[in-house]
Amino acid sequence: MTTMSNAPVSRMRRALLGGSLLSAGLGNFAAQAEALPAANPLSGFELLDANGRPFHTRSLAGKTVLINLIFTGCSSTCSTTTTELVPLHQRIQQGRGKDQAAPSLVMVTVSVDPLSDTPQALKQFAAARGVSFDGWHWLTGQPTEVARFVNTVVGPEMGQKEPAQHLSSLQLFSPTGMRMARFRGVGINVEQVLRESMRVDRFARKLG
Amino acid sequence: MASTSLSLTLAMAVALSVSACGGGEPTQAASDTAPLATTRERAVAIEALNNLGETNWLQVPVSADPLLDNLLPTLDADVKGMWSALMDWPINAIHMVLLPNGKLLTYGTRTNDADAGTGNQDGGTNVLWDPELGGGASAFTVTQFATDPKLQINSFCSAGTILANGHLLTSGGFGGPYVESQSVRGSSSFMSGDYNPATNMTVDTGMRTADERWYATMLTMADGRPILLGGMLPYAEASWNNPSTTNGLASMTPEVYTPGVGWALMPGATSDLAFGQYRTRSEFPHAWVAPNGQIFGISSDQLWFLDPAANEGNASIKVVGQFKGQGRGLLAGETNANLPNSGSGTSSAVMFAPGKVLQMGGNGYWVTHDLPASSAATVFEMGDGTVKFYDTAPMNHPRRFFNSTVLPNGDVLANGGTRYGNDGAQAVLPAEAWNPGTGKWTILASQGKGRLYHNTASLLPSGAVISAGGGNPGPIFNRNAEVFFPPYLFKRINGVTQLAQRPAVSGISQFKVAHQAGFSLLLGTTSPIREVVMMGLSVVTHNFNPAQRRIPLSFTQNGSRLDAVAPDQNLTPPGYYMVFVVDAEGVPSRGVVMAVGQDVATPPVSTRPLASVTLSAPLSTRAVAVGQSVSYSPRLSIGAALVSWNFGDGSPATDFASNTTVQHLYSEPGVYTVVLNMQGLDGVVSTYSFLQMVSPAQLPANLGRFSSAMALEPRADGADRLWVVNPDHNNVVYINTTSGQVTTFGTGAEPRAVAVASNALIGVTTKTASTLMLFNSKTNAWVRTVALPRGSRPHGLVFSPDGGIAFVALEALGQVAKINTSTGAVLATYAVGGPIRHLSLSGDGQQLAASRFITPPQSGESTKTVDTQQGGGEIVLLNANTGALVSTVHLRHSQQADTAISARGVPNYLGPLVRSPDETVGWVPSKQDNIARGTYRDGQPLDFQDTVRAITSRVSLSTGQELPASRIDHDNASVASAAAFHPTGLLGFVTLETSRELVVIDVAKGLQIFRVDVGFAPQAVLPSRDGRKVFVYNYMSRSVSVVNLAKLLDAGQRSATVEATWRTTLAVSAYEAGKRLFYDARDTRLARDNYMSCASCHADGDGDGRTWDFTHLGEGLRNTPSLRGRMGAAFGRMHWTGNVNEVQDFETQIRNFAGGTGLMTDARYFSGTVATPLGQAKAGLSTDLDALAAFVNSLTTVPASPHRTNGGAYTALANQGYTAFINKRCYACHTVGTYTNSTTNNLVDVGTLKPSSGSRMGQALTGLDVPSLRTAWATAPYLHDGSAATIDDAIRAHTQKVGALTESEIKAMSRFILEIEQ
Repeated sequence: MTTMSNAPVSRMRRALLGGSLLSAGLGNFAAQAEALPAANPLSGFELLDANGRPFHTRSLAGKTVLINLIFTGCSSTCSTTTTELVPLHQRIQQGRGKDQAAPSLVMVTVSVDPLSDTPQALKQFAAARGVSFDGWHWLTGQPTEVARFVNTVVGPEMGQKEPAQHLSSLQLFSPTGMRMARFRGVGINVEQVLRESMRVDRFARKLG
Repeated sequence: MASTSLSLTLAMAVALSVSACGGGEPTQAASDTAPLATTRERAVAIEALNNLGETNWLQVPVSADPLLDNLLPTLDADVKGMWSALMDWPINAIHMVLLPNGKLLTYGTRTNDADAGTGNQDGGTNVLWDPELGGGASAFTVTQFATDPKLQINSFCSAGTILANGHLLTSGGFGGPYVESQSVRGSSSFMSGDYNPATNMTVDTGMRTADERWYATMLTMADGRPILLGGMLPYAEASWNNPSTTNGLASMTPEVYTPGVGWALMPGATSDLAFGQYRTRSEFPHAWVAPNGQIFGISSDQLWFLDPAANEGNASIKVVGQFKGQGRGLLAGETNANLPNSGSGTSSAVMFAPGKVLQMGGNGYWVTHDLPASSAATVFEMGDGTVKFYDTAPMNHPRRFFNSTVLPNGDVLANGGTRYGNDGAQAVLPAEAWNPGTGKWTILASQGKGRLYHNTASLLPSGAVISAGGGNPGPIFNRNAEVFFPPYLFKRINGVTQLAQRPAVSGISQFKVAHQAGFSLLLGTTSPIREVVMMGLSVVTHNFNPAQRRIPLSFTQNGSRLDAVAPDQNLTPPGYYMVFVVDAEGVPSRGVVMAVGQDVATPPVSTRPLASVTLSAPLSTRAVAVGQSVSYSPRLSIGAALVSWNFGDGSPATDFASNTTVQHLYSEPGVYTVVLNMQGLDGVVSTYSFLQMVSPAQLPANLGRFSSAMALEPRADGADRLWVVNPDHNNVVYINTTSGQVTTFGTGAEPRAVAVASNALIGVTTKTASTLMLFNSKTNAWVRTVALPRGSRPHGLVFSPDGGIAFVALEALGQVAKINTSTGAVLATYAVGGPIRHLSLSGDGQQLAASRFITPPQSGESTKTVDTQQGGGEIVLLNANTGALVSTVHLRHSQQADTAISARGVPNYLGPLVRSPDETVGWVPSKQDNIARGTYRDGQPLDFQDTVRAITSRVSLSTGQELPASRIDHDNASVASAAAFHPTGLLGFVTLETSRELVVIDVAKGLQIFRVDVGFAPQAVLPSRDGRKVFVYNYMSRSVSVVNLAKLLDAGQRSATVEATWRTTLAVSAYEAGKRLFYDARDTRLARDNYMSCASCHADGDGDGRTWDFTHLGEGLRNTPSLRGRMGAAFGRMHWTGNVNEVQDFETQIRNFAGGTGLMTDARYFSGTVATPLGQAKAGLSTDLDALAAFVNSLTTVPASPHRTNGGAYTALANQGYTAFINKRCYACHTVGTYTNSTTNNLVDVGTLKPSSGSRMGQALTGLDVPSLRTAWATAPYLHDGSAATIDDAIRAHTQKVGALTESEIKAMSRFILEIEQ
């Protein structure tokens, strides 16, 4: 299956089918209350990096973070996205410490298929596409923890049964964990992602 | 005098206007008009007022509006408004944009798919509607710009705003054909399109948003930059119910656009509350630029302010309140008004006043929510970072998925939608309007179609509202639209509802205005204006039109002039606005699109200056008779203009006053120039002038008659016959003036005149055949042919009033023959003397006037000094019954100065004395020869324009004298060939032979009104009986031009049209082309400024009796020879000094004398010695020149001499003369046969050379080329300088050569010469 859009097809279909979700929705109207914003939604997850070492997401707090989801068995966009992210990463690394790149901009790639994607599998997949792991965290982990991270951070409905239904987008989080943008994950505009990430990073830094 | 008083009036008007508008007292001026918002605005307004008269007004184009114009108002349209019939629309219009060019852009679905579902959600086709073309396919331009479903930009469910260049920026969106088998849809949710109204195409800007923007709202901010607010991942609204603050579906950080640079995030304005997915706050947030320059928004239940300038441009956002929350069903005892009027996707909201928003209807967050609609309505009042809101009266009809539109009068119109869910069965058809003053809703007319999800609506420049679309998906699929005409467009008068009189904006100071700068409007009415408002152009989809807003302006009114001030950039963010003026009754004008903001491009309107008040409709000026009042009801472009009438009859101009119907009574007949002075309130006076014909109370019954080549035969059935001779084709024709059909009858040789008698006789003179032919128009047959003396050359013909007598001018004999038309008997011949050609007869038949065609030599004409005081053209007045001489009218040599528009000269080639209908004046068309001029005579060389000029002399018929100083000089022509009067006597008509024109003249003033182009060599003119047409006979076009005078008679315009050209013969003679050139001076190759043709001095190939001073061409005084019988080049060398040897050599005269550019090319003319008259041959170098030469060469025959016996034999005396001629060896030079020896190139001096003889080609003159004696009988005077008045004198001048002659020898030789023909 080809995923050209960022939207999982199943959702789209549901939208078109109209009232199929309606009764569930109505039933929740009275009961729901709004949740309070978390201090930094990215914090509080224990994952594994591509070397199999524990990676606690609190290390992302205070940083401007670009997050995308992949799985190594992906037949559609994951490989393309990874390939396109390499030059972005190189630009970030080249500029790090200089004006051209955000000092604290890091990239995070998370597997949505942790059952299959061991750290070794991730590492092999990434290395095969020229990924350098300096400032680019490739993460997997316990399926429940990964699902919790994906559902909480990337989107509540991302814990899809089929990995292929994940979002292909590249999401930008502020140092406080606020989702700032969701860039296109295929056909990445390196300059725009870099420019906007830096804009967010500079702004966050200015606010202190 | 008139112009002095006018300018005085103008100056006073300006002064009065200025002082009345607060010249020194600004606050007073402002106090009695609309309150002005700020000191600055007041100052600007006053400044504008003080600039009265300096406004460079531009026209506001008059827009066609077929839908409104063809409307038949319903009875209650004045109360409920009305809807148009359903219009087909090429697509389901999900998106709708009113463009700065006044056209309406729609998109969102395909044209070729009636699919009412989601499969047609495709924004790849633009459908542009031109309201000026009304309905029907031709009113639409359909452009499919995206064809690749995956890659091309697609504007379905996009956001948009109009850029400063007038293009539409679209962003986000999605769609494309949905391919079920692949479960894919093209994506352009990151893309931004540039829509160009000129191409109707949307192209990818290449700019990408950081975030996906499906269902976003785009605004133009106060600084002019577009901002994108909200939006989501396509088709993600199903997640409306997830309260997580961090879900990944919504686009929570606004982005701002810089043209040419692209989009940038506004990281300080990220907000889950404002733009999160919960409760679809991300979906089309209802947002506006607030009066404080920030952006105020309603995102479902959240109220917020976004400050784009905060944090150094990174912006900030602050939630300032909560609105009604959870969408829900009705609880027990509730009405729909209790339901929350929130949910951006379901409710509608509009900024109806500065900083004030009305949000109404809705409930729930998604199209699939099966919820009842809310009817509640809430007013939001924006403060500086705060908002106050309160409910106003609920709508009469609960609505979801409907549109709200603010109208020019301030009301908010709600239309469409459904009472429940997206249920078509519960569609709301009645519209309703909310009045912000009363807070109440009024139910209006019902529209024809239910319009639910995806319907759109927009205010149009006409003040109407278009409602379109609905469906995809939807229970009712609408590929159609309908237009709502609000009640303000109607008025009930006497129980009949009709279209209301609307204030009309006719002029504007500019179509682009900077913020807080002044501009001015001119109205077509003066009724008080309540408001001037700017209305934002619609960009609407999904129940929300963020671009519409209604902003009243500060303004002052001075009659029809409004001086307004553009608001600041917060009230009217840079862009395009329709300016409406609303009168005291709440009736709006049409909207005028203006660019507001320094950097906004002027809208695409034609910016023609409105320098002045103009007539907006033709003014009828139908002729009246004395005693009848004229009545004028002009319609002006500026209704408030004051008008002053100058009726042109000496009565004082009326005072400037309001424009109402005026009446005026003229006491004298005449052609009056009426001037309508129209003064705009800027003080500028413009004028419209026209001619008013006032005819005599009674028209004369007995009109005078005159000879002509054309005559009109009245017919009882109205199909009058126009009789015309064809002199070169020996026939006469009549043309049915109704059908144009031509009927031809053969005649004797050279028919010259035709006349119609009252007794059904038609008479034709045949000049060469010397007959009068009579035709009975009842029997359509020739009655008889009256033989006239041999060689008498009958020309002019008039009938007595009863038709019993025909008077025929016998030109060769200088007689008028009086002929009994019943018997054909010549009752008498009146000896008049001279070459009389044309005749006229008084209305009572008592007085005959015979015009001598060629004017006798002036005293001294053969010498250096011409006596211009004596002599002149001659018209001999006779008692028609007896032939007794009454008097001779002398048309003297004129004493006018030689200028470019007039000259001295003696009338020559006289036409008939054409009597005016009232017989007070007679006109004589002719040429005028400036024989006193010349290098030798007065030092001024003959030139192209002061040598021969066309004139019409005017003669008092009571005194028989030419009216002093009243000769009409027809500039830029040299032969006035015919004249006639209009039946009213108000207009005169003269044909100009050389310039191919008809002149229309104001008879009383003797001034040309205008000219009409007719055919070659016009030689006769007559009006139709009703005076509506003028017939002109074009001799060398062989045709009649039918000139329609309607423009002059009905509209007072100085113009007429040739409505038909009737051919009088289809035959083409052998030398047609050359002969046509011979008579023409309009062709710039032949002459400059239409003056000199060959025929100007050689009419019909004859001479003109003049002796001209050709010293400037290297010659001297030269008597014009006849060309007849000279055979052109066969004659030998030509001219008195033999200075040319081929007719083509006259190319030099054409160039150097007539001022033509030449028939030859310059390259050929100036090559070698071609240009030299006796140099290399010119023959064969120009087709036209050769044709002209061929015609002249064809003049080999001469007319019969009238001096021979009737049998054509020499008289006895002539025979004696011939003997003497031989004995005296005259034949040695005048070789018998041709009577010249020119072919020998021998120049002879018989003793006539003298200083005035000048030179030959600038060299010493030793002798003269021997002239032929043929036609000597008709061509006095004689000798090269005209010094011999008679043939006798000419013979005597030869005694030096031939020796002494006795008087009897002279007498006999003279007789012989008179009888030479051959």
